[in-house]
Amino acid sequence: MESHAARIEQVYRERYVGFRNALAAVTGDRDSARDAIQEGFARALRSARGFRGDGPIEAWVWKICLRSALELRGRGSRHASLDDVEAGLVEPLADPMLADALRQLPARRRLIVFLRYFADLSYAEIAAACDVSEGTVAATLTQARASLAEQLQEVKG
Amino acid sequence: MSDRLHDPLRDRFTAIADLRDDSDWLDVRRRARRAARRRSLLAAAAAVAVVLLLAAPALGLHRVVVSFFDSEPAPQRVQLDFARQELGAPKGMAPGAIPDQTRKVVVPTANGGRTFVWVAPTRSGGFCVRWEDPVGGCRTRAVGGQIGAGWMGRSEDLTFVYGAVLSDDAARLELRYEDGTATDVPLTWVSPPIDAGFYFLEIPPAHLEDGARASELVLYDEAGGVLATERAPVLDPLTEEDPTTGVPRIVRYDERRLLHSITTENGRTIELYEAPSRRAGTCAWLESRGTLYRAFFGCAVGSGSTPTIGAGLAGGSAPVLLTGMVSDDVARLELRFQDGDRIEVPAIEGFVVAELPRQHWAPGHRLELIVAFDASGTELGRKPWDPTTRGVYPCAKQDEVDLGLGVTTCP
Repeated sequence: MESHAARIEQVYRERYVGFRNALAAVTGDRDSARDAIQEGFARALRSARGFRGDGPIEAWVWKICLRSALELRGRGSRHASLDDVEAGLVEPLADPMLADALRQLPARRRLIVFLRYFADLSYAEIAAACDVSEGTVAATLTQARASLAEQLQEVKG
Repeated sequence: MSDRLHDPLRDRFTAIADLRDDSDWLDVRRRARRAARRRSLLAAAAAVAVVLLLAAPALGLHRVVVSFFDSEPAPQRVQLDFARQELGAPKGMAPGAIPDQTRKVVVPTANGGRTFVWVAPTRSGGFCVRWEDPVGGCRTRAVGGQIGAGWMGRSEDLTFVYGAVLSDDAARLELRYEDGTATDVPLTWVSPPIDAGFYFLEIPPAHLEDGARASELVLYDEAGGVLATERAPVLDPLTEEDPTTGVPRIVRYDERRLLHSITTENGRTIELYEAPSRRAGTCAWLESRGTLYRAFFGCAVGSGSTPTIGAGLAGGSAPVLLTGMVSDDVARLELRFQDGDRIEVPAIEGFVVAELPRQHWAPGHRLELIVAFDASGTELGRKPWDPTTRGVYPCAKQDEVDLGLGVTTCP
């Protein structure tokens, strides 16, 4: 059976860029996001034996990385504060309309959008990462897409 | 459900995504190793503080012997470190190091390398050490273990072992592995007033695998008799923290209950949680902003295992908290202050958490007694609290006490 450490390395190699970009939306810049990713994966590696396998490992590692990012920012951690995680585009001028539309979303919904579109996590992985059901993820993304489409239409119109 | 077939939003995100790959897996591994070592340092320092048996000064020819006073004197910065350690120690806990006698002792390692250790004698006849890889501690000469090993790394990945043996009869130290093989660990004997054999061994990579890990150190006398053995530490994985919460894994975290929540004078919300232990009993901890707060964590196996007042002050910075466990029959605590003021703190299912207001930080207004009462108002116990303990109550910079050598503390 593949060891947890090997799976963590695989997640790192396959998901690094996506995780970094999603986390940069939380930290505000890619350098600190990179630092949080490196620290988060190191923590995951040290704790690999403790991964219980009761959810996707990608979600478990993401939670650890998010906690590292919040600590680096001098804040607390994930679950209770998911609604306080103020994510946003690192370079809003790259797509000002999208940045504005994202800002209209509630914090948790915005984070789910970043996890979906930057980190490329599946619904199941996002659900585990955010401690919500897959149905909630699906509904949230549907609402987010509708809201964004509406916002973008208004801007275009 | 899929949003991949046609999703213009995905196109927009893809267009602004930074696709540079600056990943570095080796850096991740280095960080993981560094942190494991850092964590082990605390345990190592505690291990070195073990009290040991006084050895006679006779030196056997089988040892590498180093003359302490002929060794290189320590530079001032190292002496200052030892001196600050004295000044910063809690009341009555200073090891009594003599900083200006600190010497540098070179210690050969088993794989042909060399490391060094700063050694300062103490007034009580023991010594304090700081290794090149800065782990350290102090030892006094009294009855206790003889090998005094510190281990770096964790149970599944022990990477170094180091320490000092004090038995005058010690002739040879051996590290045994799970696969039945063993390595001789060189001893470098340092002359009086230190009179101890120092050792440092990097555990070979082949012995970091299952079935071949380090298992114990064995100390022999000249005739091959075993003087002492010391098992390699085995970490209980349940005591490790869950990296997503900071709370030890022994807790059934998903079953946690919020017992109490306070908002401190500086606006921080502190929550007291309880959850069943994976072994027996219940555990409680403080969280703030979703992570373990000030390492406050404790488990109780059952009624009778908790003292009447197992709570105390956690200070050093704002907020100053009264927190901890109380016995099941305690309904409330009464905090009595030097100025005659009293504050009641309710016990919630065997736990308490409360903030000491700022007006009780200043000398003359501090906590001096904790009294426990049951629900009928009957007094169950008292716990005096020394209001003169330094470093508990925060203070302004200008009010700090200068202990010398750059060490300051709040009065």
